Amino acid sequence: MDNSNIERIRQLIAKHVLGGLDESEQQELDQWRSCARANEELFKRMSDPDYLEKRYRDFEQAINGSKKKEQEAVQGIHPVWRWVALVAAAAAILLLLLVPHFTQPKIKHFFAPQKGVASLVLPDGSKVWLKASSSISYPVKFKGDTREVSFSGEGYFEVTPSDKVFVVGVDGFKIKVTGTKFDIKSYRDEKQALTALIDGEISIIYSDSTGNVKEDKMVGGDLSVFDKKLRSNTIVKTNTSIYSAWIGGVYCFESETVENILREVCRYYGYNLIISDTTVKDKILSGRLKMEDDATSIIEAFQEFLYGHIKLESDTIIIQ
Amino acid sequence: MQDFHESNREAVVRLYESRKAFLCFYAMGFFVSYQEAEDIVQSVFERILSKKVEIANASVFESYAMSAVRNSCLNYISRKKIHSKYVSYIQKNVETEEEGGFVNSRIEAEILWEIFSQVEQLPEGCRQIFKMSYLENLSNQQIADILGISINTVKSQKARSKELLRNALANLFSFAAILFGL
Repeated sequence: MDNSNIERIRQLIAKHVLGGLDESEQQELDQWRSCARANEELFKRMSDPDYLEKRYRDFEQAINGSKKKEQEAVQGIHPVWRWVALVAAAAAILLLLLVPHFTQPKIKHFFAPQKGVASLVLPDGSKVWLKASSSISYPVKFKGDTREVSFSGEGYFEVTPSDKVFVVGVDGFKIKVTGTKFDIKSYRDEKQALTALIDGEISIIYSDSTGNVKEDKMVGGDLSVFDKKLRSNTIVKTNTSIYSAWIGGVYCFESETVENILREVCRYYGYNLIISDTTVKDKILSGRLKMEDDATSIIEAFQEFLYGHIKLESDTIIIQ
Repeated sequence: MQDFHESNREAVVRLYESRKAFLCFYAMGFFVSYQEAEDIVQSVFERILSKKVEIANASVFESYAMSAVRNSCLNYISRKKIHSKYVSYIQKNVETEEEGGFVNSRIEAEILWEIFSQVEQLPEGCRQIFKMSYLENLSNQQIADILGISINTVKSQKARSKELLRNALANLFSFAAILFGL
């Protein structure tokens, strides 16, 4: 098993433990399981809740172990010194409680609501707009040479220029930024991640299918299409401004299928999508939709185009 | 990754301090107690120092220490004949040595360590519910009853924890891959 495979297997197993492997990932993992008995054994252990619980107790003991030992050592000495030692230990524990704040950067997690658009300002002044159900994790204070955040979903970034490189970790790749405007669309349930660069310079960093680390530079107007499964990146020229229109409440699309457009609409409003008539889902459309407080006007627009094959029932858009 | 040209010994000591908890955790995967794990890890470390094993960098240390800890644990349990419902796991692991038993035990410990470390970093409410649900195997209703909150809150907190963990872990592993050229 070479190293890039090990890394991939790690990701798959971690995802398996947390639940949420999709079908193709499941197949990939199954194939790995069938390769060797040791693999199957490892998989079994990682699927056994009793075993995981035992290992969690181990983990707690291992990280607390050294502290306990100090306390035990205190028991064996002269009473006066024991008292002194106890005070010292208390002070040490206090210090231990305080130290993590200095040594480990505190990470904040921001979750956009189920509906609409949310925005926030990062500690360095960079602005981020997040679409419904997207999330970002970032340190309370950026330390060191890089400003590192992790991101999932769709977001538009306006990064404040600085000497410190700004890095966005996305599902399976990273984006290195120096000060620029770009849009990322990387939902976990989608096979491709899109990064549209509106202005400035960024690069996409990833390890390809053979395990080699690649860095693809992009300039304004470039769109990166990253295939998460094949681990390949394609850069094309496009009208990237349409990718950031959503922060103003407008959804622009160019030569997009009805299915994709409606999925986007559903994501914005927190709706479900049911397609029972498959003949219309692949129709291609270009246009703009104004995302208002409710989706009625959008449904009406589609009704005209799809000759009444679409309806909205409570939280579900149905194509029939 | 650091290079150890200046002072090998000092660097190894520092490395040991930073990886000790993980190595103990790894040893405990062989069903030894924390106390036993600590002794095993300590003696492996002393051996590294006394033999002046050439430790070029952190990744060499990690590989060397982990395989030494593993061998010590296997010797220890075969002497002590520990009985556990999981002992078959280890035996199978030993039998399948040539099939990658060591690599797999290492992958396993690393994944669990990362997941558990990330669990510790979850916001308080999320963490408690996550532990109760995934580690203590309580149902949503049981958790809701114990904490006196609604079942929907339990569900949403669980979903949120999972998303946070997945997010953190996906980036962590891909980052590790870039940093360490895995």
